[in-house]
Amino acid sequence: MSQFATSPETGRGVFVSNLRNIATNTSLLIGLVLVSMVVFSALLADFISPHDPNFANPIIRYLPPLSEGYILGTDELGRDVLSRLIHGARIALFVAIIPTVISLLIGGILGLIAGYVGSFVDTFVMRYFDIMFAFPGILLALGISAAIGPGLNSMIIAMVVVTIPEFGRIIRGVVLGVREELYVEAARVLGYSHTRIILFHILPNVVAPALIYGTLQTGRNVILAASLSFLGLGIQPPTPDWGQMLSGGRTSLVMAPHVATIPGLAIVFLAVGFNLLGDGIRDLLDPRSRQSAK
Amino acid sequence: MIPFILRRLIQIIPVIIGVTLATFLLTWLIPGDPTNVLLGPDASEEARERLRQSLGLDRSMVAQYLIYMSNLLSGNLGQSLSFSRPVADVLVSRMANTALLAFAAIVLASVAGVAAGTWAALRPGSLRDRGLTIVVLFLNSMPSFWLGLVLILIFGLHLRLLPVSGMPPSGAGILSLAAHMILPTITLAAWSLASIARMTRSAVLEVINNDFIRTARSRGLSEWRIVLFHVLPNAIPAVLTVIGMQMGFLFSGAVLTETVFSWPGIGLAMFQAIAIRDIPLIQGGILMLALIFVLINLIVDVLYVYFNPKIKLN
Amino acid sequence: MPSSILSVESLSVCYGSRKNPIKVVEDVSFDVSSGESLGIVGESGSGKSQTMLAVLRLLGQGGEITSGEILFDGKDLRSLSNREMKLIRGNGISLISQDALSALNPAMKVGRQMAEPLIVCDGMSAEAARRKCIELLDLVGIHGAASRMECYPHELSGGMRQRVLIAMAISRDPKVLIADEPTTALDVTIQAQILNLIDDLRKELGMALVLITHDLGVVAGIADRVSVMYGGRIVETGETEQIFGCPRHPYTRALLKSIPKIDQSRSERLSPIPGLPVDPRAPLQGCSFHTRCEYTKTSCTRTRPALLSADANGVHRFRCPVDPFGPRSNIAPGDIIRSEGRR
Repeated sequence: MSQFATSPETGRGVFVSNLRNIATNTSLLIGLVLVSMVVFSALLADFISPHDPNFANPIIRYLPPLSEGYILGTDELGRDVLSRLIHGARIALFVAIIPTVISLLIGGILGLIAGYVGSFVDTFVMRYFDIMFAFPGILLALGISAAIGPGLNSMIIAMVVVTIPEFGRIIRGVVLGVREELYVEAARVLGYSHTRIILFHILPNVVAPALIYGTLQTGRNVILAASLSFLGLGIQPPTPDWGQMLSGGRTSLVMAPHVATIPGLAIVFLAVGFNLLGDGIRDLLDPRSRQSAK
Repeated sequence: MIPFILRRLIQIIPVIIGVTLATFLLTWLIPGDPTNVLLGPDASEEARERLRQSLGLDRSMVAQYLIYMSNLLSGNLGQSLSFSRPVADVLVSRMANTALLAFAAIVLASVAGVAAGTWAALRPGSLRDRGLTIVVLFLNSMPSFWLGLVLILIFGLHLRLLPVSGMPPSGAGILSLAAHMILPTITLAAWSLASIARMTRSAVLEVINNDFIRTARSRGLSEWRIVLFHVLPNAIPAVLTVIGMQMGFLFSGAVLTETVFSWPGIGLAMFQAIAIRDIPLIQGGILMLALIFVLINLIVDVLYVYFNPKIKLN
Repeated sequence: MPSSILSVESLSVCYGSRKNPIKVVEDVSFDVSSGESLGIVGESGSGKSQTMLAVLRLLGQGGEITSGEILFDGKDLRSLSNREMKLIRGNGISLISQDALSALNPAMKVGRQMAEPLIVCDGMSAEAARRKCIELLDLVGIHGAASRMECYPHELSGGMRQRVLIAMAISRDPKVLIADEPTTALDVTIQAQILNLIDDLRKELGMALVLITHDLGVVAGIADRVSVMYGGRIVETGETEQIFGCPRHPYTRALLKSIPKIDQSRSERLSPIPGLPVDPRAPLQGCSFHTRCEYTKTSCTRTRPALLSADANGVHRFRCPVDPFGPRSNIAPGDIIRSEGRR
């Protein structure tokens, strides 16, 4: 991770050259478009969705896609799939972004402390991370969710717990790299306070990796959240949620395959969006990695 | 080599203790009276009291953990609510099915992933390279259970080519078993395949620009020989770490795949346990899969050193 | 003059896209005969290594020979199929790379690495190949060859690795040996040993040797003839005595002046060449050296100089119409212009 540990460059020049890079950065642009589309449908859900997402009409159950008035068909209760999809964007974004932010904060602080203080604190934190890494993410999240009881809160807690070590390790790596840099050494020799060194010399270096890995993790969170929902540990009905819509459609796979497949497409859409966005940000902020990748 | 293995073995002891501590703490996360969940709502007050006694719920955390550990060491993982059998029995009886699926998937993911990654890296920037990048992006952005459903829809329900659920009875023969395994294996392998392909690609790219590849070419060796004997041996160690990680993920990813395909492994049991909050079974399943994960990573570490002669010196 | 084993005629190499090609080698010609040694001298980026890679058809990603002819043993290498080219590499023309550590496969034991082409290309038995490898390691002065064969490259010293690389390069009795900066990664004391070893092997085995280096001093003792490259072109070529005795191109002269001499008084300072080497992405019009040359005339910035003969039989040739060091140097005061690169 030490590739981020470069001395802070002059802000203006980097900004201008970044503007130029954005225009040629296809991943960033496509990712931005995909994510914004979901963001807009979440914000404007009440205005753009053609029907009430929770209005069940048993007479029109399992309408196929492209039906009159129901472009994406209806589900097992006769609810409009498109409207549920649009409203589901809210939950999808919420459960992808909020755990990332919380876990980035906690993990970041832990990593910062571990990397900056070093010695036994570092050992202690790293041991904790090692133990957490011994659990494949979905498994621990499943356990925590199941123990607390299914629901939005327990799902978010589970996702945060599972992703903290990932961020912690990355930030710690960056801090360790920066700590050895001459200008930090110099600041310490000059007798600057720890707060000052951390705020002005170390934090600026943490921003780029935090942004990159945060975005990529958000993409993974989309899938993790959908998985938990699919297992019945996430959002409870009738709140429209993509993962739960998908698992609801399983039973009617033969009769009405669209009920299960369409929400899956939405999940892929959003996850691809965040992944491209993350890759794009990486290309933008860390050109060296792009060179090695291409 | 032997001292290295011993050292690694000693190093994982704290991790294993930490893992048991974490699974132990899951009980502690249960809101309200844990016996309510552990025994189900219909249990008698007498039975509850017995469980409180045996788990030491009225005693300190440390004492509770020690009880948990001593139970664990004697193979007692508690009683499963959904199966009305000891958790250890349920897990052991299903372990083989999960392992079968996980191994099939890792073989598929490794072989196809390494092949695809190498194939793309040999012509960086070409159409096939960009194609692979896109495929990897989609596979990595796809919930495995959704892929499973789509495969069921296409190959099972639409084309009627392959069975879509469960396992054949034990006497049905190897062909029937293989047919039942195809779709779950692909589903389980997809994510790992993408990760392995991506890692292979960048590892091969890194190796292929080295001078020694040019040396090999300048001595008249054929291209496939160079890839097989000069590029891959140097790229494999980096890929191996990813394969090891993926192997662990495959065991746990089985929860979703087994659910979609009703494959009677640990994952399916855990899914059934979720519905009725059968915490002991979930707890035991997590512990078992996490320990497998730790063990596999240990094996990978050892293999890594074996394949990488430079590290042997230190 | 004996007929040459390898002759290259107006070779050009480009990198990059068709729309935006970057010329790294332009109109380069040279030839070597069996038993003869040719030194090619130039700064890094002058195109000397790319020329040799082009000869072996081992240019990197995006590299392409755009024009020229490469004749080896009467065969036009550019017209050969990949399969036929493979047969030339190693036993027709072979290569010693500059950094022996990265030029050896780190994951393969030295012995296996050496023996591999002997077995798969020449059809030797494993035992015969092993015997041959031990012989070769003895030849290049590695003691205890049999035990060294069991080592991985990182377990050998720098000098020993270079010797292994040389042994590998001569293992299939090549007719032409290309040595690309074979001593840059080594200590000075070992450099001389390795150079002498290469030279001895050339005489002993009757190979043609092409020695690529940035160091004129290295070339002096070994090469029969020297070509000096700058900016992808050969700027001067001739017999070694001619190049060292009466260099005609300003670049060659500047290069010679930048070498420290043992009899130089300490008050006399070394004269580095001002400015930076040409960037092939921003090619210059006219002579590629004109931004750094002391004798630049207006015409130098416009027309690309042709090779001129300096002696009667055309062995010593150079690419400078100004010819400030020629016998009839005719620079009038006021002819020389100032150019941006000069200080």
